[in-house]
Amino acid sequence: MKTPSNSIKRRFALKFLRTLVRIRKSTHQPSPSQSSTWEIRRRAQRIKLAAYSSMARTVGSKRAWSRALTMKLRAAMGNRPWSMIKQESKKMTRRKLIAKRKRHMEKDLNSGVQELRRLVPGGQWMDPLSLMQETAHFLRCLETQVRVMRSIVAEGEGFPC
Amino acid sequence: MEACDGGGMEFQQENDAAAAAAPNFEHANPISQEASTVAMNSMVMMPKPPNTHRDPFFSPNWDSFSSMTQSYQTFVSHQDFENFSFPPVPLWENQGMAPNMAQYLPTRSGFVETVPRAPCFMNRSLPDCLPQGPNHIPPGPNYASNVEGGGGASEGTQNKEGEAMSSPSSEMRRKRTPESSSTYDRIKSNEGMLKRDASGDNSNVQKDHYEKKQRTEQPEGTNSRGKQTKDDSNSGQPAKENYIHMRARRGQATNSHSLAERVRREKISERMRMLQELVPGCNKITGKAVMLDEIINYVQSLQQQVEFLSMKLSTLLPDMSFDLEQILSKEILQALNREPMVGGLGPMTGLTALPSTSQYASLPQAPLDNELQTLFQMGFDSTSAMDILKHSRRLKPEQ
Repeated sequence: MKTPSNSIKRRFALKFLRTLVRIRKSTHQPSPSQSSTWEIRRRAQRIKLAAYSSMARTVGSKRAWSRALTMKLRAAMGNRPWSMIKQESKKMTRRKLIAKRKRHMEKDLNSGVQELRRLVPGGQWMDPLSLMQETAHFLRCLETQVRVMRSIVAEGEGFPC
Repeated sequence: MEACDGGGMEFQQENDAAAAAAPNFEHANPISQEASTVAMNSMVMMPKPPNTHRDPFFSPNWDSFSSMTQSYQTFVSHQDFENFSFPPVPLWENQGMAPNMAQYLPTRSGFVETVPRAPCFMNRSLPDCLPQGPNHIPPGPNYASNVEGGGGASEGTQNKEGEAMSSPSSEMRRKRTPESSSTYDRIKSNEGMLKRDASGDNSNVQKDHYEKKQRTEQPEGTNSRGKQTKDDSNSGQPAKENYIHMRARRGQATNSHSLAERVRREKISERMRMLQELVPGCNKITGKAVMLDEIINYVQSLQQQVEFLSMKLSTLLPDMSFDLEQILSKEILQALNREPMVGGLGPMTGLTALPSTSQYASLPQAPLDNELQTLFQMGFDSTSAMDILKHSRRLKPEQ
C-alpha cells in the first residue's frame, strides 16, 4: 500500500515527457540558438512544476499529499486562487480545521515533527501517525521522480548538438 | 553556466554534508562499542549496590554506600562521598552513549535501564541521594519487563532480585515517596528517555506514563510479585474491551488511557521503522529525533536534486531531439531498471569530474553500460553492432 510500483514509474515518465515536449515547443520559437539565464531559470521553474504536477497526477487523489500538492500547484500556477483551507473544508468546517492545525502545532513542540510537516505537502493538517505514512509514500514517489529525471538528463547529455 | 554552477555548488555542499555525516556514523560505532565494553564492566557492579547480601560483587566503594543506605540517618563524611563518586564517573561520561549501548546490549536490557541512575548521585546533595537506594530497585523488574520481552533470562534474574529486595523495602518506599518524588520523577524521566531511545518513543509521553505507573504502584504495593499477578488478571478485561486488542505487559498500568497511548506509540515506532528502511544508510540509527532529522535531511536533499535536475533539463531542452519520444521513454525505463538509487552524488558526476567518488555509479557511464549489456545480450551481430556504434558515437561526441 505504501510502495509505488513500476507502473507509477512508467506513468510518471510518460506524463513528464509529454509535458517536457510541450514546454520545449512553447519555448522553441523566441531564440533557438542562445537563451539568457533568465529564460533558463524560468524554464527550470516550469519544468520543476511540471515534474511535481505530473507526479501528483500520476498518484491521483489516493493520497493526501497528492491532493494537497495539486492544490498548491494550482495556486502557484495561478489558475484559480484555491487555498488548502478551501480544499480541506470539504471534509471539515473551516474552524474545526484551523483548530486541528493548532492542536498539531501545540502537540509537536517536542518531537520535531514540525519540520516534516513543512516539507511534506499537506502535512499541517495531518495527525502524526498518518503524517508518517504519507511521508513514506511521498519519499518513494520523490525517489522515482528523481530517478526518472536523472535518466532523462543522462539521455539528454548523450545527444550533443 | 553560472546558474548551473551556483546550483551545483550548493548541491555539493549538501552532498559534502551528507557524505560527512555518513562517516560520522562509522566513527561513532567503534567508540560506542568501546564505551559499551567499558560500561559493561562497570555495570556489573551497578544494579546491586544497596543489597548487602551480595558482598562479593561490590567494590569497596559500593560497600560503604550500602552500609550508608541501611541507616538513613547516618551522615556520611565527605571523603566517603568522594570515594564512591568514582564508579559513576565513567558511566557519567558514557551517558551520551547510553542509547547506543541500549542498541548493542539487547539481552541485558534490564541492566541498561540502571545506567542512568548513576548521575543522580552526582547531581544531588548527599542526604537526598542516599535514600534513593532502595527506590531504585523496585522499578527494575518492571522496566525489565517493559523492554521488548526478549532476553528472558536476564529479565527473570532481575525480577527475582527485585522481588526479594522489594518486600523488605516496600514500606521504606512508601515512606520515601513524598520526599523523593521529584528525584524519582527525574530518574524516571532519564529511564524514560533511555527507553525512548531504545524503542523510539517520545520522552514526555513516557514520563507521564511512568508517573502514572508510579502512582498506581505505590498505593497497592505490598509485594511486587502480587501486584504483577493482579496486573495480569486485570489486563485481561480491558484488553477485551478495547476493540484493538492490546494485552498489558507485566507490571504496566492498565488504564485504558495508557493502553491506548501505548498502542499509539507502538504504531508510531512501527512507522518510524518503516521510514528507516526507506532512507538509505539509516539502519544503525536508533532514536526518534535523530531518525526524524535524517528523514528531513533526505527529503530536503531529494527536493534540491529535483530543482537541480530541472535546471539541467532546462539547459538541455532546446538541444534534445524529442522526435523519438517513445524510444526515449523505453530507454529511460530500461536505464531506470538498471541504475540503483544513488545517495546524493549522482548528479554531481555529470557536472564536474569527480574521479574520487568511484563508489557511486557515475551517470554518463550508465547508458553506455546499458548499451554494452544489450550488446552482450543480443549477441554480437553486425547490424546490432552498427546500432551500438551509432549510439556510442552519440555518447562520445569528441570522437
